[in-house]
Amino acid sequence: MEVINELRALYGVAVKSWRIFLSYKLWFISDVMLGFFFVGQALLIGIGLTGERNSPALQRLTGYSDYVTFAVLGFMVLGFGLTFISGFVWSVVDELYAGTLEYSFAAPIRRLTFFMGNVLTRIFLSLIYMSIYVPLFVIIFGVHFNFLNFIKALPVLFVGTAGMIGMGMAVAGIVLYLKDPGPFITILEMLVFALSGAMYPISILPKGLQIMAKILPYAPTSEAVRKVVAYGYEKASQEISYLIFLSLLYALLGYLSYKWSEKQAKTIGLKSY
Amino acid sequence: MILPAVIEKEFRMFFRYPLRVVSSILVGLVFLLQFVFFGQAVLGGRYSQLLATSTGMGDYPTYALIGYVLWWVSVSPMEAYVWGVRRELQRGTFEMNILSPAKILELLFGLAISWLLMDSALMGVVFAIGAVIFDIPLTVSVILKSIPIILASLFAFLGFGFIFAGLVMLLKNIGPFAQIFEFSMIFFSGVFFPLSVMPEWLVAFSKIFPLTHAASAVRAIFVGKTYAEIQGEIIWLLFLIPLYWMIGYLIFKWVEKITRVIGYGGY
Repeated sequence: MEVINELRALYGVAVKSWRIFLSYKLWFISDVMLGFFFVGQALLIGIGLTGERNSPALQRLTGYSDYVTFAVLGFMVLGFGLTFISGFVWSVVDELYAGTLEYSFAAPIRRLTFFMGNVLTRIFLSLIYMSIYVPLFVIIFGVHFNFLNFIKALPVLFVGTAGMIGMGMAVAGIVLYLKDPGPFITILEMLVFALSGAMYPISILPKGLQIMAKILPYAPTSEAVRKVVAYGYEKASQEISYLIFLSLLYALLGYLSYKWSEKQAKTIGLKSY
Repeated sequence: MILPAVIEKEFRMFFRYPLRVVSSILVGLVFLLQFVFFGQAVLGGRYSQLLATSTGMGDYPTYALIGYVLWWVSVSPMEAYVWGVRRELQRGTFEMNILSPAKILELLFGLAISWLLMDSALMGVVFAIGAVIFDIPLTVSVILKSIPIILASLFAFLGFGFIFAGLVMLLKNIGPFAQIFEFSMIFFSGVFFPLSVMPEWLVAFSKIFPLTHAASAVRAIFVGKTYAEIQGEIIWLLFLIPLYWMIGYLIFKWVEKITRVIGYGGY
């Protein structure tokens, strides 16, 4: 019975989040356009600088000569990955700013249910975006990747997802403490964006930033997914092993740190407006 | 003195949260780095002969940095009208400000100037950091020669953004529309890539945006060209300044007339 109640609560949170999103329909168009903006930029920058659709320099660095396909894969992994951190964190921040967080947390549901409901909506949205992007990118930008290999790479993406969820939980714990968490989240999202290796191989970054990129779960996920799509599982075993280790670590750290911060918040209270 | 008061209020609100300043600079930097690093990864270096042939500037980081910083500043007045007015509408302070003895035009103009100044300062920092990261050679003479062009561009950007002042009062939530428009400007004005890759009709269309001429003129100065050599761009800029101010003013007056009857879009 308790499980059913929790599932109903999960559904309720997801529906609420979905309805809020739907009340501003133009944002959906704007979000979809953003994907075309990034991929279109990648194509035009490449053509404007090299006059070619393939880049030997990028091939030497990553194995991908088609820079648009490289950027599309990175963009999709990043978009999916940001779903978790955004779902966990913005769900707290939006309610903090609206002044409803205390009420939501006082409801007879697990807090994890509250977060997962918001994350679910974002995953659903992310899947809708992907179902729009993939066929249109293939038609408009001539992106060519083996679709079967792309499907095969999904388990790798899910392994990375565990780490991304862990990171989202850890950050949600920090956010509970901050009076004005908006800028902190923006900074974090920008760091993730810069170090995700979505648009460029992280090997061209300075050494210090490369290490930071390797520590976060995003760039290792992008790298492993790209390698599986291009070369298959066998040649990507090193990247996958590292990703499994990192994801497990983040999942564990995320859970523990969130539990700890929640306990603290129960003692000292939530920051509210 | 309404104008300085509005500017002071906006500055106080923005700098009240230092972390917001840091996050704004970081957002500016990360966005820039994405495209410059991508360009360098594709090129296998920083110099593109093709870019040099089509634009006169072959160093990609310099090309992108100038275009990007100017783009950010160019959309600033637009952002001020769209988000600044929306913020007041949401807080319920817009109607009260309208009822004050200050002219609405003065209030909105103060908003746009303050956002433009704040963004110019932020982009100055981003430009300096970008110049250090990408080792861009800067001389005092190049900077001094760029200043009049940048000032003329700021006037043009203010006039261009003014068009949105009227729209935001009439249509409640034009944020997503403005965002699409802002990103489109990156394409139309050749911020990260040369316009030569676009179809001819699009290149002709791009001339109506002040950013196209501002970026082209400043880049030309950076490669050592004189004002005489870029007089075409300067004439375009000087022509667009009064044109956009006039269009913006006419739209604003038309919208003001309508909103007096139907009211402002509130929250």
